[in-house]
Amino acid sequence: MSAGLVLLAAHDLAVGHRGRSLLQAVTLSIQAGQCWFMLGPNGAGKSTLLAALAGTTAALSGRVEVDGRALEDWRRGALARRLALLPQAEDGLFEGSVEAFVALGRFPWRGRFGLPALDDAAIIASELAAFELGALAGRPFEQLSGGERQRARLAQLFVQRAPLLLLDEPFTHLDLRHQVALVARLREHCALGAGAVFAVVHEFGWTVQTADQLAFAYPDGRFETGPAQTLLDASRLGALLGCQFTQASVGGRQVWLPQT
Amino acid sequence: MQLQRTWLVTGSLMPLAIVALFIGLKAGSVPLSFAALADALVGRGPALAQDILWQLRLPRVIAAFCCGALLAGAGTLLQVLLRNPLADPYVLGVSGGAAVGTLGAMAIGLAAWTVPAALAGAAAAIALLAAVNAAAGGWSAQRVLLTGVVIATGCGALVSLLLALAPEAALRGMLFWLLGDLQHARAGGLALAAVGVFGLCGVLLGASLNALALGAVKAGSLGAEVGRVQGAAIALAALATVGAVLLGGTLGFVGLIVPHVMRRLAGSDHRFLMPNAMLAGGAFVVLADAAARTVIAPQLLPVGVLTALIGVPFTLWLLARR
Repeated sequence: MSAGLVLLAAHDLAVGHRGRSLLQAVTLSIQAGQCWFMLGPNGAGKSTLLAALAGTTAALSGRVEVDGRALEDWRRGALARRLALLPQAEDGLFEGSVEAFVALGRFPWRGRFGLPALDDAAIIASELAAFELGALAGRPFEQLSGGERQRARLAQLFVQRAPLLLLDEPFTHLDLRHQVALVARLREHCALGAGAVFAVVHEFGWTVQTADQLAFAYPDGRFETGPAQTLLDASRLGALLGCQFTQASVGGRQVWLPQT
Repeated sequence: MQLQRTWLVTGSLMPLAIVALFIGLKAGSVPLSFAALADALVGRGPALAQDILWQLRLPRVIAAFCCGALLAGAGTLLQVLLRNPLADPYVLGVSGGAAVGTLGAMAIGLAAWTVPAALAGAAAAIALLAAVNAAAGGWSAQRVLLTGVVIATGCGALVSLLLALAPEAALRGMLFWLLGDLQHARAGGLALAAVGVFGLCGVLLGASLNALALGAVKAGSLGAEVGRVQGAAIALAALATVGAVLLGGTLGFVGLIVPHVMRRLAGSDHRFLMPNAMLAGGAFVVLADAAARTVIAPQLLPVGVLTALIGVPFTLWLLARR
């Protein structure tokens, strides 16, 4: 049982653009089995931090280690089998079927010529079914609605079969029903023991309130992590989101609502 | 796109290309039947036919094929690299530089120096593109595209200047070259080998190019070596464009449209799209060149006119379908 194994550790990281730092002194330890949500207002540097953790952009200073090894020491292909990233915006030009789109998530497991691995077909089929894309598998990707595309991008992420998932705004465009299903899927991924999830959201809705670990990216550049029970208090939320919150207990669960 | 359909298209393109080559070999002032051509190819039959085939027609047809294959391949690479369906091989400005070099040499009567002049012009254009982008700090598909287009436009203005100032005697040759001219084109085994290597490189890059279509960030997170693939693809596209321009001038339409047509017919998996586009592009230029020689014989039309006249209606029909 590998729960407790540190999958990703960030040491005194500073991230930003063109020398100007957005977040400083970021220290983070993501262990197997943990489900993290990162919360903060727009412009706080959440997406920038996620990109630095995934190794797609360089941090301004500090160190990131995946499985105990520094990011710079990882070969790209090997890293992709341990860490999967769902970026926010889609800046591509993909033409092809939904199934071909989802199949691209198997890239790290394929050979030089892109020849599929033996279990590719089964994995792709199971994720298409999990995200209710079975009927759309043969449809051209461009014809999909926003919510369907997001589900396809999530299916593409999950076929990558990486234990550590970094997601940037995964709930955008999704119907409530699919948001509920995604939260369940993410928790299941963590509960299986060897995986972890780190998701960035900017909206303090019901999804964030299901996390067991939280990371707060304050507008003044501070970064704080901890268990959800500790971090969810009125003064912290007020400093983070610039709103007053009231707390209520609903069916045994703590719920936070902004005061209007 | 179903895999079976993709394989069907790819599988039928090689025989179709060979058929196109034979049609290309048939075009010429001396009538030779297909049987006579086949004989001459294997070294049988009258010496005259063999001479015509090996000294005149085959080099020309091979040049036409290589020109089309290189242009279509370069267009495929640039469309996925720059994430722009309107990208064609001339978008890097490299062909503009080659054009300025070639036409400059032709205008001052140094027709024998066109090849080195073209290479010098192409090198200058690429150096300028690289310098501007290095100064601005790193790769950006949009900036590369804009820089290339601006350089190409600048070269276009220089070309117009050259045309305006050139002596009457040189003018016709210059115009034909601009529209795509395979009259004096010669190519043999070496050119075919180069095209083969280019195609193989394209297939090897194919899987990574498929990932790149998702955007640089996602492709990197999937394990694609984004920087290396982008660099290799741009270098290959630039070299292929220069090669094509040296063979047949600035032949238009092929590099832009053939990748789109093949994508429609057989899907956008670049491991198949590269060879598909190159075979189709090569065959297309061979057929267009054959038509250019025979349509208003004994007068010659520039090949570029034929590629557009045939290509435009076909593509419009394809776009209007489904």
